[in-house]
Order: sequence, then C-alpha cells, then structure tokens
Amino acid sequence: MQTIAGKRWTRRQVLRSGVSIAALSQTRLIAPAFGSSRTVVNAYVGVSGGPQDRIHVFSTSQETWTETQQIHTKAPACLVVSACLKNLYVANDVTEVENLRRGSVESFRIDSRYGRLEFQSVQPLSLAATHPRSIAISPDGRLLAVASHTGGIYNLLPIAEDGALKRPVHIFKSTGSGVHAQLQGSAHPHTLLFHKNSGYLLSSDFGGDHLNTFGMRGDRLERNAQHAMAPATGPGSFVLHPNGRDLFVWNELAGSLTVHRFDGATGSIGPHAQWITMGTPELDKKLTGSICVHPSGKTLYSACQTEDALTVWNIEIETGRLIGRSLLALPDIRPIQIVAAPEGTSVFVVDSRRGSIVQVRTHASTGIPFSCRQVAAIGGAKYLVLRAV
Amino acid sequence: MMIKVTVADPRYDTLKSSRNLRLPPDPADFAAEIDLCESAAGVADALQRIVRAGVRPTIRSGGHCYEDFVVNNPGGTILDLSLLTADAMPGDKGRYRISPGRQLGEVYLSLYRRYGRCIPAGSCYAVGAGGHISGGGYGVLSRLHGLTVDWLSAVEILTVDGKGDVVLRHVDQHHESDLFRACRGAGGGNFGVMTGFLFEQLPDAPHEVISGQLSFDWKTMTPEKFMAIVLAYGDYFDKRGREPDTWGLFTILELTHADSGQFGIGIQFCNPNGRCEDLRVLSEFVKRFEVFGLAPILQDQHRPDTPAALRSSSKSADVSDLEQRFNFQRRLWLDATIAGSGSGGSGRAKYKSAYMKRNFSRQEAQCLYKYLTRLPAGVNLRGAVVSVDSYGGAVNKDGMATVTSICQRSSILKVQFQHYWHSSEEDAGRLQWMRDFYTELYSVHVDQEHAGTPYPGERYEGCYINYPDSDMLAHNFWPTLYYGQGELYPFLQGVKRRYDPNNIFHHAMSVRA
Repeated sequence: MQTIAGKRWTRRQVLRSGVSIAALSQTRLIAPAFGSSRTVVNAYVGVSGGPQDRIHVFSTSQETWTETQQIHTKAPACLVVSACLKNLYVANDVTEVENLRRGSVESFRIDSRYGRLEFQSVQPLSLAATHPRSIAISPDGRLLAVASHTGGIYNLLPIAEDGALKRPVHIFKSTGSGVHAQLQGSAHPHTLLFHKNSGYLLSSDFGGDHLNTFGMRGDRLERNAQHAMAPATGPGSFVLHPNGRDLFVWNELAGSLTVHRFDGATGSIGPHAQWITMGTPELDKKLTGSICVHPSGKTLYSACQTEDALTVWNIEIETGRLIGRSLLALPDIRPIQIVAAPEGTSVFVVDSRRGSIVQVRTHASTGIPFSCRQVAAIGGAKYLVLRAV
Repeated sequence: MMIKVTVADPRYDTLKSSRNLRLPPDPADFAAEIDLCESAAGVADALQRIVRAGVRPTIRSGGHCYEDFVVNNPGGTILDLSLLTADAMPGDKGRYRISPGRQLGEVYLSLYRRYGRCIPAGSCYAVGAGGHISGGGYGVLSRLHGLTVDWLSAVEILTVDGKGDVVLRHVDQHHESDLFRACRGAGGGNFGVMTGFLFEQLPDAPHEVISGQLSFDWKTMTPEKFMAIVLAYGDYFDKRGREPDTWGLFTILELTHADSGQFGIGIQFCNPNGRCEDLRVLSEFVKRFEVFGLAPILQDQHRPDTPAALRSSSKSADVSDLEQRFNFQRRLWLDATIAGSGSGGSGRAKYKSAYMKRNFSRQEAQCLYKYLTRLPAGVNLRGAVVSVDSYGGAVNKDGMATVTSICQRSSILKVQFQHYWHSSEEDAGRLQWMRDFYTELYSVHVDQEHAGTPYPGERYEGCYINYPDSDMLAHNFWPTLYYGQGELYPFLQGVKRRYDPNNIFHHAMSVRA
C-alpha cells in the first residue's frame, strides 16, 4: 500500500491516478542526447548455476552487443567496476575458502582498450563472512566494502594502487533478527551503497529489518544510525536518487516499495514517506525485486521477479514521492536486476528465466522508455555491470 | 570490573598470545584488545559492549587452546576469564562451583582442602577450567570416575539473542536442557560465555596413589620389540583393562621420537576405593613390560617440552650467540615464571588425536615405529611424542553419550599426538612429518573416502574436540570426526541456531548452523 496523506494505496490505485497505462510497442524513436558525456563501452555479466561459473564480457554499441570473452569466476553475486575503470571486482557467493568458513572477492584487471578481463587475485574474507552478495567501492576509491549475507558481517578491504585487494582491514559483525523466524533469524545484510558526497555507507539488512548507515573513521566502519523498518518488512535492494537525498527501498517480505529521506549531513534515514504495495509474497517466501533510478533523477524503474513487466515511475523532484507512470510489459522475462546506462539512453533488464539481457531505450532527459529489445541471452545470468568511458 | 589491554599496553604482547606461540600464523590476525573480567557481571557488560560495537569476541580461560580459536581474531576482542576464579557464589545451594578462570591445579587444591573431593579432570595444572570442562575434560581419574562433564549439574552461560542482547542463563537438565547438554563437551567458543560450572556431587579424592614410570631405551630397541611393547600395552586395555577392578589404573604410553633416547609409560594407580592396599592390578600391569627390559629413567628426557629437551633440540637463527653457547632460553616473563606449573611454558606446538576402540594392529605398530625412528633430512624431531592414554572404564558408562556432547563412549585408548619446538624455521618440517605420520597411520584400516583420519567405525571413534586439529578441516566430514555419526552434530546445530542465531561465537571449527 502507498501512504499518501495518511492513506495507503496499492500500486494499481496509484497507477490509475496518474497518466493512463500504456504498454509500449517496439516502435523506435530518436532520443535526444542527455547531458552525460560517458558512453557504455563494455558490459560484464556474471553467470552461475551451470557447469562453470563465468563472466561474459561484451563490447557494446547502440546497435549490438558483441561477446568478446568468457572468463572463469566463482559464484558471482555482485560485480562492480572501479571508478578508474581499470578493475572489476566480483563477490563470490560461497561459504568456504581454503577449508575455512568464509566467502571471497575476486579482482580482475580490465584492458583499457577492449575491456577484456585478466584475473588478478582472490581475497578471502574474514572468518564466518559467508555468502558475500553486495560490494561497493568507497568514493575515494581506497576501500571495497563487502556485505556477507548469511554471515551478517561487513568487511572493508583496502584497494592497492594496482587495484588488487588486500586482506580485510576492518570487520563489523552485525546482529539483529526479525519477526519471520525462518527467514529473519539473524542479520542478513543485503545491499551496500556509498553516498558519494558524505561518504556514508548505507546498507539494508533483510534479517534485522534495518536500514543502516556507517561512517568511516579512517579504515574502520562505525555504525552511525540504524533505522528500524516495520516488522516483517525485509528490506532488500535499494537505490539513492542522484540528489543523494531520496532513498528507494524494495522490501522483500512485505512486497513493497518505500521512499525514505536520507540526511547526508547526519547520516540518518527517515521513516518511509511513501509505501507502495507491489505484491504479496507466498508463505515463507520472499518477493524479490529490483529498482533503479534514471540518471536524470526523474524516473524510477522497478520490477518484481514474479511479474514480466517493468514499472516506470515518475519521481516528484521536491518530495521524492513516486507517481505511477506506465507499465512496460516484458513477455517471458523475470527481471532480477535493472541497470541504467550513465548516459541515460538505456536501461538494461536482466532476466532470471533464460538469462536474457533486455535493452529498454529511454529518453535521456526524462527516462521515459520508448522501445525495447534483447541484446544478449546467457543462461544463468545473475548480475550485470556496465563500464562507461 | 574489567581490565582493558590494548595495543599500547605493556601487557599486550604477552596477553595477545596463548600458549601455542605458533598461532596465529599471521601476526595481523592478533586481536586488537584483551578484556580481563573479574566477575560474571563484568563479562556480561564487556560482551554487550563488544557486540554493540560490531566486534567479534573470542573467549579464553587458561590459554591452552591447541588451535587458533582464541588468538586468531583480527580486530576483535579476547574476553579473558582467567580472573574469574570464585569458588562459591550466593545461590550455589551447596553445589561445588568451578569458575572458568580457575586453573586445574587450583581446582584440585581447593576441592580437596575444602571438601576432600576431587574431579576427574586433566593433569596439566595450568590449564583453565573453562576450556577444559566445556570440551569434555578428562584425566588420570577418568577411568575410575568418568569425564569431567559427566559430573556437571548446571552451567551459567551468557548468550547473545537475535536482537544482540546479552542474556544470562542458568541451564541444567530441567532448564534449557538442550543448551546444558551442548555445554557438556561440545567445546568452547560455540554458544556463549560460560561463567560458572556447578556440580551437585563430586567423587571423594583418593587417599593415596602410586605413580611411577617404566622406561625403555631406544638405543637397544628393535622393531619387533617396539611393536611387542605397543601391542602388549593396547592388549591390556582392550581386555583386562575393561574390568572394573582395573579402573583405578591410569597410564600414558609416551612414545617419544627415537632422538630422545627413551620412551616410557607413566602410571598412576589406586584401588577403586581410593587406597593402595591391593597392588595386584598394578603388579600385573608392570609385569607385562618387565619382560622387555626396563631402563633407568633419564632426567627430563620424557617430557618433550621441558627446557632441557627443547634447549637441545632447537637452534634458532634469531637466538643470540650468548643464548646458543650457554643454552639459555629467552621467554616472556610471565611464561618463564609459570613454566614449572606442570604444563610447561609457551612454545610452538601442534596436536592431533584419535580415539581407539581396539588394540593397535601390527601394521599400526609398524607405522608408529617407522615414524618414531625416521630421521627426515634437516628436520629435528626432538619434542615429538605420541601419548597413548589409557581410556574407557567409567568413561564408557551407559547413557552418558545421550546426556552430554561427548559421544565417544566405546574407546579404550585415547591417542594424543604432540609436537613442541621453539623456532619458526622448524615449522614446515615438523608439521609435514606430523601430517605424513597421522595420514599414514590412519589409512591402514580406514576406507579410501575417509583415509587419513580415525573415522568412526570398528576401530576408531574419531577425534577429541579439546585436542582440535585444523588439518581435519580439509575433510568435509570433519564434524563427524569430532561429534560422531549420530544425532549429536545436528542437535548441536539446532542449539546453535536457537541460542546464537547471529553466530557471534565462532572460530575455525565451531559448530556451523
């Protein structure tokens, strides 16, 4: 349900209150250029579940994706490209490394010309930091933060000059539990994100029903604030608006999308200013979803793994609230991730069913989609990251 | 009251380590802080503060952990319970209390002087009660009186609930009995911080014992004679030693490396009534070995960790010329002061273990001889010993496996591989010899899938959790080695999920929920 002036609305009601629903056709329109001068040149797709886990490397252009390389990795759950574009980091969603209970993160060098990868190193995490599923690079590029989902542990790994990762320099063990005995028995950090301007590290904790902010004191994390979500919310993926103020959270147990205010000065996260019910999870199951903000800051995209559609929201700039815009049908697609290209002309949807990567062309200045097509199909695709120069 | 020792404190260098100076392998893994607590309330406060700060706690009582479960805690805090030594607290209701910080030697003195009682616990007197009892505990009176945990009636333990709040629990057979059972031998550092062990009853202390040593000279030893000694020893406990009139006899066959000059059998005996009026059992045992020709005992040769043995075995590049020329040994003050306490001082060490349900076979005895006389090039093996402890007796009392977390209740011998040295340069060679030895010995009668381990079956009952061996982590069935093939490990996993849902207490070999 969405709360507007004290009243909770379902997504359907919100959509009806806005512009009429339109399923877009495959008609292509010429999109005016957006302000960003960066262009996506490579895409890296982490694949697992098959005979061998790997990363597929693509050279991209407006028209085609061309696969240029496949390289071995281990259980890729999250991929990030360093700000200098020279390294790719992969969270290995495993429980054991060298006979000890922990996960690991791999680093790869990126060839500057073709974007090809070369394995650099694998860094084990601290003991009990199992199933790392989210990683984020600090704004100054010095540290890699890792969230271990089942271990409930955060690691900070220094990044060397050549981009290689060093052993954890700080370990934070979180605690917490939620109402759902089976799914929320302990802390389960889900998503990590650094706030670019303030340097705060934000995290969602599915198990503890928290949103956290951590301050950085040297090479240490200190929990700055913890915002308790409503019981059995199960916060999962979240994104920050480019303004750094509005925080959008997908809640996996509640099946909802919530909007919060983040204070970059104090690092505090406010209660939800808006709650939109997106669906009802099955008993004892999560409703996994993904969200993404268009670089213009005017549009938010959300997708639920059980629906073959992309919901496109208009963002009220002053308040950060979401107003339903349109529903883009994506037949036979089960979205697990949405990624916006920094130049604003495309949004990519990763499909969990057959591993399709769907490119949704968008107006650069608004984020409104106008066409879509499949650019790749890789069975077992789990995570996509773009490299833009 | 809590004493905080951080990196800047002069005590840090000593207190960051435990007895095994080999660990942790990487100095960057030392804990950042040691909190010495003087009361259970102090422990609770410290633990709460640690958890709230997102720091990992590890727990130490005496510091004799064989692996790095306490000291390998990068950036974390060691909760040191060595000052938790109260012998009685309000609310004990007449029960005997052993606090985790008490050393075993002090426990024996206190129980004897106050009450005339004893406890079947270990013989290394500086070992802390906390780790010893939580992992089962056994010693020279165990054949007569069972394991330490067999007598345990209640435990006070601090756990951390799902929200991160510290909870003080008093557990026994009627209150949170699942956690109580887990505290009876699953090993320390798993579920919480045990701040008190309570016993409704304890056995009377023996009035007197006869102890001594039988020694055999390596110089005149032959393979056949060696094997005959080993087999005669094992045969006694496989047959005669099962009878209750022998349970006052406890022996350790200390198989030192041939370089040491002698090996021998340490003996302690009393009749089951705690007196030494009838010595027939002892005579019978000794007679078994007289036929092999007993040697006079050489001073200090049988304890591989004595200064004399180690001085002559270790030549380290980082020892000054003066120390080398005069066999001086450089030690931290505290270590040097307590070195004579019965458990030796600190050094580098490695341990392995095995429970045996039957006597050695000829092939096993051959393997023992092979490795104890092997002289690998460039490897010094002084300080290596295979201790074959007599076992069984009251340890194997019916029903104890289901009310404690020690499932190994059919064994007649308990083998402890020990290796002591001082120089880090010797690590690789000594450790490799030990691995090769153990792997070969426990491949003789073990199926291929489990080769290299004393996997539970007809001959073995796995390993002892208080003699942990991280090499066993290479086998995905390592929990079976320590907790058996039955319901115990799944039970402990359930306890773990219930009482430590956030896995606050963990180490390399902790119970994995």
